[in-house]
Amino acid sequence: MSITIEICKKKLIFNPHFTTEFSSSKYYNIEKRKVKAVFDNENPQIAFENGILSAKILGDIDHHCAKFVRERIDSYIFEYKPSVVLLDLSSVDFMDSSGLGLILGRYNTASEIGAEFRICSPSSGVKKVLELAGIERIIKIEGDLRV
Amino acid sequence: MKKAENSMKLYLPSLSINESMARSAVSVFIAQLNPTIEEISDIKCAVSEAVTNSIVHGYKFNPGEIYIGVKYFSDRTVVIEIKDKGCGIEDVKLAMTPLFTTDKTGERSGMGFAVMQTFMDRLEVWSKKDKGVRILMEKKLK
Ligand SMILES: Nc1ncnc2c1ncn2[C@@H]1O[C@H](COP(=O)(O)OP(=O)(O)OP(=O)(O)O)[C@@H](O)[C@H]1O
Ligand SMILES: [Mg+2]
Repeated sequence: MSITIEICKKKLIFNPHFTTEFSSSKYYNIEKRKVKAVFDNENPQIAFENGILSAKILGDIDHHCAKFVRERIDSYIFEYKPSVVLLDLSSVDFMDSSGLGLILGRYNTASEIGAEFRICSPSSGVKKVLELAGIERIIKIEGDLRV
Repeated sequence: MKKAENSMKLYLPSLSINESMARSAVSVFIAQLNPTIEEISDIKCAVSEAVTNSIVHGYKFNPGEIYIGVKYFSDRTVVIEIKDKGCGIEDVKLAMTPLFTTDKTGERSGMGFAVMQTFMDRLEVWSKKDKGVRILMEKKLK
């Protein structure tokens, strides 16, 4: 017995138990929130103070939302010419290798204008991906600034 | 081979918005096994890597279909199969080398296969040029 889910082709063979579990699950809510954050022009939240440009990324970092986040951060880096760029990961629960590309790419943008680049507050899951790639050898990772 | 205790099949159009759908659906399905947070996070990451690769490299943002099959067995082994019918990989061994990427934008790190390999207990990849990619990943939960 298997559950077949087909999106777009309308051939949905849902196990009713699975449906309720899925729609009420916290994962589903996280995804909904994420999609909103991507489109409401607020992800990442940007703050600029004392030469420090901080970008707080909200929700998951995957290939889908990386593009939007990347363009927004880069435009602020070029506009404000900060001396430090800080990527705040305290609100990121999930990140895959697209996040590594995003981080290394912003490190390069910051270097281009001579700014220092740091990351802070990775969750344990995010930290695992950062460690696998040896990011801490190139980029300073500040500890937990989570509240 | 033993009979699977439960299984799920998922067919998704190769749209980047479905990357989160894919990993969430898999994580909700394996939640039946009451995995640890780290196990869920590892599996979500591995699924996200494979699905993203199909969208970005396999179909190069053209429309296509991605198949995801998940099974689990009584010994708590989870087996995940992910397939696309995209452009395929000429040299699988080279593609799986950490830091190897064919991406030209400078926004990819070439760590996708390394993530799958590290976060899962077993990873096998079959592919031929123009014949798509088939990935089999396995993880035994505690
Ligand atoms: N489904 C696929 N179809 C065709 N080519 C693929 C597929 N998956 C991977 N590849 C090839 O293998 C290479 C390595 O994949 P890998 O996921 O390790 O790195 P990446 O996708 O380039 O970068 P990252 O995953 O870090 O963003 C890719 O650059 C691509 O050339
Ligand atoms: Mg990849």
